[in-house]
Amino acid sequence: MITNPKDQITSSQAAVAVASILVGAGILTLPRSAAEQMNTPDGWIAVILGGLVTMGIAAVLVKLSQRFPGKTFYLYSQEIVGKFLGYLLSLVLVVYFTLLAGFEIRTMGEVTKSYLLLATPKEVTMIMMLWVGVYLVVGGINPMMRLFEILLPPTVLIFFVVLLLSLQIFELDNLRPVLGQVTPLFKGVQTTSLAYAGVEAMLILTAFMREPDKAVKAVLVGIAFPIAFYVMTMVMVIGGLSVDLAKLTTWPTISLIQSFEVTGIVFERFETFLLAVWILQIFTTFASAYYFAALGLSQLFKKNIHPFIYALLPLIYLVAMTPKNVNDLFKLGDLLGYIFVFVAGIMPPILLAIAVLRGKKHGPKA
Amino acid sequence: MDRRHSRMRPLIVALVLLLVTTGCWDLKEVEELRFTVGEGLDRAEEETPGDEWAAEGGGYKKRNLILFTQQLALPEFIAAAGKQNGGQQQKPYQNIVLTGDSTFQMASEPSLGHQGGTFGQHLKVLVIGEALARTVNLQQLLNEYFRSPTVRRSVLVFIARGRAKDTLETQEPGEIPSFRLVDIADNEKETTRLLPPMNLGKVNSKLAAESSFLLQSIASKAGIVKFIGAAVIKGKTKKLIGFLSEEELEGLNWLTGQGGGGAIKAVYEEQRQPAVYMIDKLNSHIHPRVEGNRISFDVGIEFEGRLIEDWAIPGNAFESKHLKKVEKAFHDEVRKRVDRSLNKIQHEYQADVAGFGNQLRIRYPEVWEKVKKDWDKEFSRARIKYTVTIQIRDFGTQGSKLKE
Repeated sequence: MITNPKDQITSSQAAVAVASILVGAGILTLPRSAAEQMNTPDGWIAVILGGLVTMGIAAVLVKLSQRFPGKTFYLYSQEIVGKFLGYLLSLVLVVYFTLLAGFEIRTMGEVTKSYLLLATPKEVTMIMMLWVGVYLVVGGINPMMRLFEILLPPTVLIFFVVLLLSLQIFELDNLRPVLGQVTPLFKGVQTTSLAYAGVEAMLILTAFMREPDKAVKAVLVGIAFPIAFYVMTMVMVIGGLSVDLAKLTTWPTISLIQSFEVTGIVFERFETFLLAVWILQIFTTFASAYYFAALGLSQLFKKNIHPFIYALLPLIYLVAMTPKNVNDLFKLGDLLGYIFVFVAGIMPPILLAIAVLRGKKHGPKA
Repeated sequence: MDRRHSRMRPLIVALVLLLVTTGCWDLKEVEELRFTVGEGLDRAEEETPGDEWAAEGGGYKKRNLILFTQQLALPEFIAAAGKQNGGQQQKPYQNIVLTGDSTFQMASEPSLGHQGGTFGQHLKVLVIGEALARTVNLQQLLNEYFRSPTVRRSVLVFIARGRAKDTLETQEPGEIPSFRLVDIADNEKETTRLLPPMNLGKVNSKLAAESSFLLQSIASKAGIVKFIGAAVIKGKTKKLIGFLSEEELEGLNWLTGQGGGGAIKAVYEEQRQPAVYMIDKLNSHIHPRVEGNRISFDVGIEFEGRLIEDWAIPGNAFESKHLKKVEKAFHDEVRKRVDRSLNKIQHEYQADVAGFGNQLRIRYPEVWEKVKKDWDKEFSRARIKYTVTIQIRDFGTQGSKLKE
């Protein structure tokens, strides 16, 4: 299906894409969900462990995809488990990506409304982002990858600088004791693993890679970025706010940045900067999910992708507008977490096992 | 390719037009905003400002629980005050006083009688009056501040001895009381008689952890505001239970190693003359100990500094024997003062405001889980032993007053 040589991406682009897709809405809420589950300050350890688990999952995803060079999950799943089941699994993935796109858009809308544009209806900011998303996604995978490459460095820079500024309210005691209790860590890993939702992108991205044999390396490098982001977030937020407070705040990371003012340089307040780069990362996640959903439909129905892109637009908007309030939104996030466990953690190993047993494999085209 | 672009072009033009023609949704003219820079909360007594419009149908359903002071900065008069052109001096701030039972409702009330929109994102200080803090649970009182996304968590929180309303007034021309409070709180590094600044974020985390804590207390006399000691907030009731005097706060800061600078003054033996020690470095380590059911603490307090003033004659600091004597005097003074502060928080207030519980949580998480519910009570029973080390590193540029 993907024979156009223009639609190929380099290994570093794949790594950047994985990093950009993984870093999304979670950055602002992860400290709360981890603190809620664990009740200890060891969230940052759970984040590292969760990242390692994700790396394992990612390796399986890639191994599966590498057996079918040039084919996305939507195509090769039918070869492994037959037409009907393959269709069904692919549809699950399409639905998942659609929900994810809607979830990211709505989270962006909520936060923008609360912190940045208080008088602007959230529908307006959401629709704006949706439209920009259409424009990008219609261009196909290459413009997307190039954009991600441009957006990642400023994100890393600004994000880390802003978080480091919070050192002035950082209290090491809030992070101690380290491993005072070990059992909460298991609960914590379950929660933090969900923050790495997005690795399932490799089910599709591998097919676009110019050198698919480097996919494992690319995805591991890609996951290293979110691990660094999340560890940094957990350490600074728990250190600055304490576990007890992180549990209570809706968007702990923003609350952290709101807890201090920097005097002496031009800007006193930095939540706007944090939110700006955060919205960039939301956009990358949203655009990717949007594209993958549209691509899935186009490959399933063997039609041009453009009509599907436009058809999905109102659908994503509907998904985004479905949660009645922030609690519903977080519930949608939980639901996405469950589907993620299925599409990334359960389905690929089974498919890989079946593929190996049935000897299904596509050699490189002669 | 080309065909698609020609189809996109009108769409793009339409989008750009939309952006240009709608203007900015959230635009507020800076000149027309009223910046809230400080707020005061007091218990409402007899007077009920804001209720004088009842006959005309004004007001809304409320209990008169809180006397609310909203301080607005008037930037246009800050510049004017500098000129000192005599005549009527316009203050660069304005205090609006209202009563009610919801901080949010009171904060939005001025929209009915004042031009422009209120802009709360520059709120710097929140002062709570003694009487209100004693009777109302702070977690309930401050809930709106913790929730509102526009209130930053860096807002400094103070307790006023007397009324908060009075601490938001000043006689100094051209000064905004709220800004003054922020500036004084910044002096933390210069003295050990100030509390490290507590902002809304920290207050929120203390309240959430149900632990007792201190808030800087301030007082106002004849239009002058001063930082005096600390207010003790009890973790269980989340209400004010009492105050620490300036000296008691200093004793506590010594115990916990907070703050910097400051001095120790001791009168010592033979001549009953004072000597003063300038604190350079202050360190303290709290070591919890658990033996069976008994929890105890060992504290090591270390001072490093300079003998800066000595009224004894000749008081020869070149002589180690003399220095030892002065050191001992400082040592005894510190012990006396720390004893007094410790006694006050441990036995009178029964409130662990010095972070002993925090150290226990870190070293003995399992023990902490068991005692944290009633920690303040447990704390009042704990044995606390401490050692004080005073190091006179040097004595400045003159060691003695007379040649012997």
